Amino acid sequence: MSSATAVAELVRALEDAGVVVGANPAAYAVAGREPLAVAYPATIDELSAALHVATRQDAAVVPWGGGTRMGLGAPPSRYRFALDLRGMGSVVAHEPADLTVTVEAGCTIAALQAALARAGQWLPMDPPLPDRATVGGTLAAGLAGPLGAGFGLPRELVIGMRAVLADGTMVKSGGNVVKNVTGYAMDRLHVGGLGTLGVIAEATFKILPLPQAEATVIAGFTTPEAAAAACAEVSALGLPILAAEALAPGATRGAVGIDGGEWALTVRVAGRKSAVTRSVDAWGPACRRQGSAGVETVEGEESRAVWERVADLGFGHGPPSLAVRIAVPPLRGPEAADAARRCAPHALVALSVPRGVVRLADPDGGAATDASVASFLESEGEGLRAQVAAMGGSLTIECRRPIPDVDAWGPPGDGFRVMGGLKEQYDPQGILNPGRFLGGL
Amino acid sequence: MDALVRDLQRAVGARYVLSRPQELLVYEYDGAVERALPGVAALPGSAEQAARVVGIARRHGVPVVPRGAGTGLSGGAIPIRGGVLMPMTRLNRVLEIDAAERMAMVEPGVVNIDISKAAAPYGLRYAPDPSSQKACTIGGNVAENAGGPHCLAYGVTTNHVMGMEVVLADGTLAWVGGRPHELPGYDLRGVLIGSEGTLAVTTKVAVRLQPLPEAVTTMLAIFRDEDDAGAAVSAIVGAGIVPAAIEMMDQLTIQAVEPAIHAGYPADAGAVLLVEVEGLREPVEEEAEEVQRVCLDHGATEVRVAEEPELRERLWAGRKTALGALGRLAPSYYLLDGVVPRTRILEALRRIREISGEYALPIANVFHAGDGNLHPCILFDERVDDQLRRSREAGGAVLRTCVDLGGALSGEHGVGLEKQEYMGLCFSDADLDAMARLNPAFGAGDTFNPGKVFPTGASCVELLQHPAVARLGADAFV
Repeated sequence: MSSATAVAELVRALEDAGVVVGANPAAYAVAGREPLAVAYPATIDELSAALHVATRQDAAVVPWGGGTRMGLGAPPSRYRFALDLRGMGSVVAHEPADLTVTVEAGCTIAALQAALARAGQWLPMDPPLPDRATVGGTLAAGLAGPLGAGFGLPRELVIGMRAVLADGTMVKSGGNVVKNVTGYAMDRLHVGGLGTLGVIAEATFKILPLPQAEATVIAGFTTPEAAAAACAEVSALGLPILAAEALAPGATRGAVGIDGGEWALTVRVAGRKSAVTRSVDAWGPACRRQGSAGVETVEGEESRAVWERVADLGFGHGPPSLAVRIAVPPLRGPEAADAARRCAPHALVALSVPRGVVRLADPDGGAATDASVASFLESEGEGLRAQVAAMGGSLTIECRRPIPDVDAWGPPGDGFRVMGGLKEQYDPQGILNPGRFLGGL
Repeated sequence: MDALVRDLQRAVGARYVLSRPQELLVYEYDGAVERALPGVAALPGSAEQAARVVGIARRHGVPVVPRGAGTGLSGGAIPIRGGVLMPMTRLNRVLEIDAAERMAMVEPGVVNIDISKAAAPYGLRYAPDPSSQKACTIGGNVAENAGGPHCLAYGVTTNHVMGMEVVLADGTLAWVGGRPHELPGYDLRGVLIGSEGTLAVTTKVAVRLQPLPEAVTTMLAIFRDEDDAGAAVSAIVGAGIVPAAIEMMDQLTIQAVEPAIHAGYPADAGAVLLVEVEGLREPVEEEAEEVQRVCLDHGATEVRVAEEPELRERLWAGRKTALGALGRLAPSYYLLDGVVPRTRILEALRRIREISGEYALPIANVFHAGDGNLHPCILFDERVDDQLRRSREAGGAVLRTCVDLGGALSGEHGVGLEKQEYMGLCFSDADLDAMARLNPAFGAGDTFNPGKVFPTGASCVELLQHPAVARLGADAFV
């Protein structure tokens, strides 16, 4: 079958199924591979119909939200059509008194936050580029921004989900209630599953009242270890921390407007005014005891703006040409941040101190060639990935130009056989994001 | 059977294999529901021994049913198909408390409250607190994704478990999740938590610890009726306060509790709310004042406030002994665990009153009001007429009501045997089929706890021959 015939057949089948099809595949390239067509389902039924077509035609699909995380994972092994979910963008139900919201996958994080803010509430989730990042994409990536320190991974906030399996079957799990053990927690498969076991159509979250007040404390340190020591001192007091990032020299200018050779510990506190005051008062002395020369505090709107920039680290003008994410046991965090900085001295580096998660981003790729990137990541025994593995952690490539010979995820660990079993059960034909996930799943 | 027993004896030691019926009786029941005797019980003394037990059972073609303290309320630990019962209670060591990383590594047989006791010297605690926390084990908590009164603010077990070591059906040990906060791959940890022992057996658990709060204030508000108390719950949440716990007891429960603990509840009290706020001193003071004002504005006749641990404990006493006290009112009860969106609590309570009338059985309500997790308790005497049948039917009606109001069958007790035939109320065949496919993905077959969670297609008549009846006792918790 010629390529033109194949396109025509796919488009006809999708249109027959009632799905709008677009013809701008270049905008949906993943790692240089373009699809034949783009489907725009506007409802869960259309999403189901599109996947039904995909299964029938054995056409591999890459689901798309705002495209901010498309660098995550390996290149697709097959790619026939893109599934752009942004037509499914409504807030389905928001019950302020229940502190729950149900939203379609294609809704952007910013639009959801705006809707919640009108009722004085928020979803404590802060992926980069919230104006573009969608709920579905953020959940499929499963990664936390700086707020992960206070609220955990996105999965902790999900209480219910509707998803569509590879063959078009619509399935639900959980519900609208904040506490629910009725049936298996199927949503856990899809949060962080990169759309490889099903496509998230709708999610229900538990949400929170917006804090009465918030402030950000910024303190300079010569090492990330000293910043972490200040954090440890304060958290031993039981003071709540929403986020605490140690920004490496170089990352500080864009995020908090500081030039120079120091690390900037940037801490977000929020809650009642009295709690914020107590926290801010405790941070100053703790930071000075750990060798910080000065502590600066910003509040309210200014504080929120700082965190938009910290969350966007390296993504401010769109996904960077290289972004790497490291997760180690939290106490090894400063060591991992140092290692990341040594390996890529020109990159932006930030460490979430309570979480032991290091983000490294190189917005313009600098002078790094593919070969040099490959070598700093993977050269045996001394590459960054090997150093991180020795700390008991993992290194994931979040975003990059395709680099031959560099595995996006690193070696799979325990339980990989079960993961293969899951793929076999839920996507036996391998049509959902094939080849993009851990170990080639 | 002899060969099986011999193999198990070799794996865990002869004294830890029980096969005489009189030895096995203690494993015949759990916190509720049905009874069934296992063929044999084997108590592993290490993760490796547990793995060997699973391998042996698999070779002999019999299932393994893991068991913690047996406090479960949905029949999760009942070996309805016989086989090997595997109590995890010998694995009861706290292996490590890492105060700096706020993590505890424990064995599955560790009692829930013992984690907090071990963490207390470091100013830390383990947050989820099922009412049975002085008896239930962390392994059982993981299997059931257990909740508790304080889950309103902090979430349930799954939100506090970082990773587990498990035995898979092929008898191998594997870690799911772990100490780093992010790991590539599917969240097998999250799928296994709450899978009711049907997919794997937990042999180690890494739990997250949190700092003990600087200040705690407990308030007990007495209302003339449920409607006022329910409105107060909504108003507290509406004021932007998320307390650590909001618990409610209705009139029937109050009447049972008062003679037992002499709390001094007024004779005309129609509902009692227990509200606990905790955290930093200043905000706790402010929130406690707001909660008191909201309760008084919504018709509370009295609000008692306690900050000292001993006094707070006294306010909690009625709530914590409620289920045992209900035993004074009837010889048997059927305890439900439905959950509704918190804005629908009043509707649910009204409908439960109607159901109580329709089936001519008293129903007491003592529950986690803050997160809409109801525990209607149907009181009956199985020796009288058809009360047993009516209690089952009334229970079904209550569960249907919860689902109709946008809720679910179980907030924290699990599905087990008790609610498996009701799963169709919440889920389509496609939903259930998707869930059932986890079994082959884990290669589980009939190895672990078979016959639970999923509907068996038993008719109502058959169900009635298996009464889900709990005997009342001082060790009953909800």
